[in-house]
Amino acid sequence: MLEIEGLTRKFGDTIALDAVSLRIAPGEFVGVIGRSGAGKSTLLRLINRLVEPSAGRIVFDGADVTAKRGGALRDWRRQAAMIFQQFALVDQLSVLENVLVGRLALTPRWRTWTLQFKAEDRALAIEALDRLDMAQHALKRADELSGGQQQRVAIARALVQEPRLILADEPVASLDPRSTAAVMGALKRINAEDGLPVLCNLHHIDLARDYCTRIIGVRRGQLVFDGPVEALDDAAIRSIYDQ
Amino acid sequence: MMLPSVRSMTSSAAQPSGDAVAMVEARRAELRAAKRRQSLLLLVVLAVAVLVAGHLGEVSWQKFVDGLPRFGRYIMRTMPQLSLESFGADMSRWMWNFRVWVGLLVDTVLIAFVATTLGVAGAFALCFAASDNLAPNSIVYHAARRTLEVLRTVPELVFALLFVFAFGLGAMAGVLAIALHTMGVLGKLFSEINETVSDRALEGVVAAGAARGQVIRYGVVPRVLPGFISYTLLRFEINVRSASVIGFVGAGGIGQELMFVINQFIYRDISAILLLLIITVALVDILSEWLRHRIIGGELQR
Repeated sequence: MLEIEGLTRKFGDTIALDAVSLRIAPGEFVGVIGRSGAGKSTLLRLINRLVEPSAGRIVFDGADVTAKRGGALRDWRRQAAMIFQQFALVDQLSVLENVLVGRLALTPRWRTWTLQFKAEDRALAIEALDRLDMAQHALKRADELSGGQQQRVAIARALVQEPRLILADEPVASLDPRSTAAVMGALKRINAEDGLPVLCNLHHIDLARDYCTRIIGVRRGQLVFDGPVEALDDAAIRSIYDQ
Repeated sequence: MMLPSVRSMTSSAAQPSGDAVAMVEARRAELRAAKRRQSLLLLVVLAVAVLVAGHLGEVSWQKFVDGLPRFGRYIMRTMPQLSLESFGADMSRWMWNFRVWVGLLVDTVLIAFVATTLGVAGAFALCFAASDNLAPNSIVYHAARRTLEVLRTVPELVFALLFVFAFGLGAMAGVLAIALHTMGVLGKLFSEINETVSDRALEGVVAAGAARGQVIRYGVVPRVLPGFISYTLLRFEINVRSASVIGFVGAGGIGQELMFVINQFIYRDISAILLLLIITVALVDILSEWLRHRIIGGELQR
């Protein structure tokens, strides 16, 4: 159970996120919608602690995430796996090595200097790639792949982190329709089969309707809609998009 | 804990996942073996090259060991006698020519400053023609490249000797010598930064109908400027060191004085001048580091 209370983030004078409170239960597939700059990305980055909150608290299964430091913080980041719009792969590393980045927080640091991992870790990474139909590309350089393929590598990286929560920040905004279906389908399968909660920023309301069970609407940093996907009617959409 | 999230996902590929692991691992082993052979070969070649070069260059371990005590004795001889009771008097005796030396050091920094400025201007003018993605044609490209090559191949001291011969003793010769060398080195570095700007990033400007110069001004310069500034400040530090040496051939700065006291075996003065030189270089380092952070840091924040 992820609990967020009064989460606020200011950048100078602008308030990117304004006292947002919400709870996310295991197994939910939550779509976050809103205009560009409404604070959707900031919300996800705050949860992973890539951005520090100005005020408010994040609690996961009773533990205060906002208080974590050092090793505990890195372990939380591993559990709250991020997926980015621009994939955030290291172009010069192989696909397999990119997936193994997801094992870094679970491997003693001295072992990782040479880019060598244990055979079990490699097997785990290859299986994760195989589940996303990417095993045949494992030894290519990451930048040889298409956008949709790169995003599936990023999902494999998230999977081997042994996450307890998936945070996807516009995962399909740079992809064509077919790749979009492949990536969203993969997220949906992970959500359905493992009961992992997914928090996913989306631009397209149609995608939100197709894949999400619950919708959160953010407008100018404030939570203006929170309900099951069926409750998202035209009036709700107008209020979220400020029309 | 084995990973349920990975294993429980149904695959659209019908084969069991063990096959994928075996397949990737086999291919990986092949690639690694090939890579290992390659690195081993490289290592052997490098070791042999170093040994041969050392032998031919008469770099001798024995000579080094024999000479080490002499080096130590020389250093000891340059050390001043300083005692706690009469520290002030000892210091002023050691630094007896302080005003003259500081004046010469200021000259040295000024020579480096003027030379760096001129060198950067020259490098900026040539670097776009010397980048293979921006040069108008291969004749201009090769002409620019070769010019820069010649400028940085001729050592500063040789340039300085030529200019002392032409323009007489003094700072003018030093400025020109360092400026030309700087132009050669920075021109090459700048052009390499230019080459990292991808064609794709420029297409937006080209597709709007911009001329070559406009493409460079709007598409390239904004991207490469932080890199240029960084290399320029680094070069300024290096040039302060160079400017303290070119005085050896009469081209101005502290070098002339340093050469004189070394040749005349005025040991105390050697250590005094070197100490002041080290302090000067450290100050320049600190200043340029501060500048770099201000400029580049501001660039990153945008």
